[in-house]
Amino acid sequence: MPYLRDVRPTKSELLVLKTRLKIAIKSHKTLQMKLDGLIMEVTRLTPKVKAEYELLIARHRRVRHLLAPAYMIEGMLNLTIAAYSVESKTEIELSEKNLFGVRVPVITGDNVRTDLTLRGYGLLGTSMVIDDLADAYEGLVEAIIAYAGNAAALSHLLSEIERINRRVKALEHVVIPSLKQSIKTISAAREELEREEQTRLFHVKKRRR
Amino acid sequence: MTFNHFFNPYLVTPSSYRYLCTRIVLRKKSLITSDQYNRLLNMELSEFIRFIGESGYHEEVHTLLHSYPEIELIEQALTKNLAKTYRNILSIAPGGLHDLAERYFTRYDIENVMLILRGCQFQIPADKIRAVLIPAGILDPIKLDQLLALRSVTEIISHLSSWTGHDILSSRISGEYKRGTFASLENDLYIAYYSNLLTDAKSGYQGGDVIIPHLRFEIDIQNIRNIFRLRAGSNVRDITPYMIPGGYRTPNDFQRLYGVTDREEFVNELSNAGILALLTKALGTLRCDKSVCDTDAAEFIWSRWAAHKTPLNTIVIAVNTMLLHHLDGLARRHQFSVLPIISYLERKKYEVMNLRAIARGKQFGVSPDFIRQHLVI
Repeated sequence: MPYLRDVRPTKSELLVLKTRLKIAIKSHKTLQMKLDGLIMEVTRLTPKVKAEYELLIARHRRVRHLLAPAYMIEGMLNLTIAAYSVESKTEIELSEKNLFGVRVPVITGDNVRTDLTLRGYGLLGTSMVIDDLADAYEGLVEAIIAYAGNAAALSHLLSEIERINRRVKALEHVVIPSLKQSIKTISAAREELEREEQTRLFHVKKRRR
Repeated sequence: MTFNHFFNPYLVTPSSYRYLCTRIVLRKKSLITSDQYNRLLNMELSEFIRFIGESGYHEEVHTLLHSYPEIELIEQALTKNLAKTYRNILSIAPGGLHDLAERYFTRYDIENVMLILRGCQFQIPADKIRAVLIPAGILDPIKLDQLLALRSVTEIISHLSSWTGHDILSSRISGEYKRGTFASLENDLYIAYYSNLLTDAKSGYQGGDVIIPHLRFEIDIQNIRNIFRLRAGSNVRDITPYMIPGGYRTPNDFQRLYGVTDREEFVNELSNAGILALLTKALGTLRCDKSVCDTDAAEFIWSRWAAHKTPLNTIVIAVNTMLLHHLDGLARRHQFSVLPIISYLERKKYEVMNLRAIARGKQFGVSPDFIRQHLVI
């Protein structure tokens, strides 16, 4: 499994290979540390994302549960009228943060939960089923935003782990062993050359005598 | 020529009461009965459409048959029929009763006007607004179309100069729009609506003195619902702008109740307002259990209050049923007064709501028992 096939067994090549090996070992160590860090981060994030997913499902179920009575009590017309009255607008901000060199998205929402009196519809012309439904939808949007940010971060981290793991494995099982093998081969060839040179010098010296 | 042309516009004679009340009582008999509701609960959606297409809603169903899919057809037909019925009542009500009916229908005008104002302010396309207007009020479809064609809120308000809520509109909307203006304007219009209704009831109609206690109690219930809503979904401290004056309890009483955290005090307040007794009956009806007592009702309502939650929808519907039964009882006792008219208008409104609830319940595939809990029968 030679890493470099056409390497001349010179001292300079040996030095280059030794430097490369040193860098490869250092990279392996660093990547391994990064991998461990990422795995720790994923281990920390996974239960959180799972809990957020379960919350999202629960809130979605609540919305589905309230939708039927809302349509039954208020009808499509009144719900549409209430929807047209809404003045508060949810703003979603997208930013990024750095986790072990991986840029992960951060999603935050503003104005998600609104006070009943600030939603935009009049209190006296509407019924409580509209409040309940609006509240349930706000909760769902809040859960979606929280889940989306962390799920996207988790997905980025997992793909990064896969990429780094491939590199670590390549360094561990291909690059470092082949560099070591090449260094060993060159060293052996150089030792052989040295021995030949010594023998040649020995014979030259002997002839002069 | 309409019926009220035969009458002095401000005089309602005993014979005109008898004539109108008899017509109304006959119409009331043609409303859907509880047996028919039970049959409807077990029908498929297509059978349901056929049923209403063969009953009092045939004209609307046949007109809209090709314009809307199943469920929307039902809802549009029901709404249009309600609007038609109300407009018809308006055309046959003589003199002062006509005014009272107008006052009663103002609720739909408030809804329509607010919708048009919001559509104009938030630039919602006129077609979308037109699709959800319910022309059951004084402002007829032609007037509503004219309002929809206007470009600015100020123009709309100036075109509504003859409308009852014009003064409130013009005083509240001036200059640049501020967030929340429409919501508070809508609340003010509804407060004025109840105030006008009470004033009209006091102005000498037969049965007016009987309807006042009912209206005041209804206002109290509406206020109780609203304090529950505010407690569940808001952080406001001063709730008096959201309370309707005119009930047995003043807005200040409700302000005090809003801050109550002691169970005994809360239950006593509800008991003194007569709401606990009504709630006990409603809970008993809902659970089909005659042994439900005041303590059960107090425990139920306190648990929702303490948890900052709104009461269950089914309880609110059961309370509405109780109120409707009370109104029907009054209408039976005072046969030739405004009560049969108001009772019919309420019955018709709830019939439309019941049919809509059944249709939507079928659409969502919920059980007939669940739908039944949402019916005001």
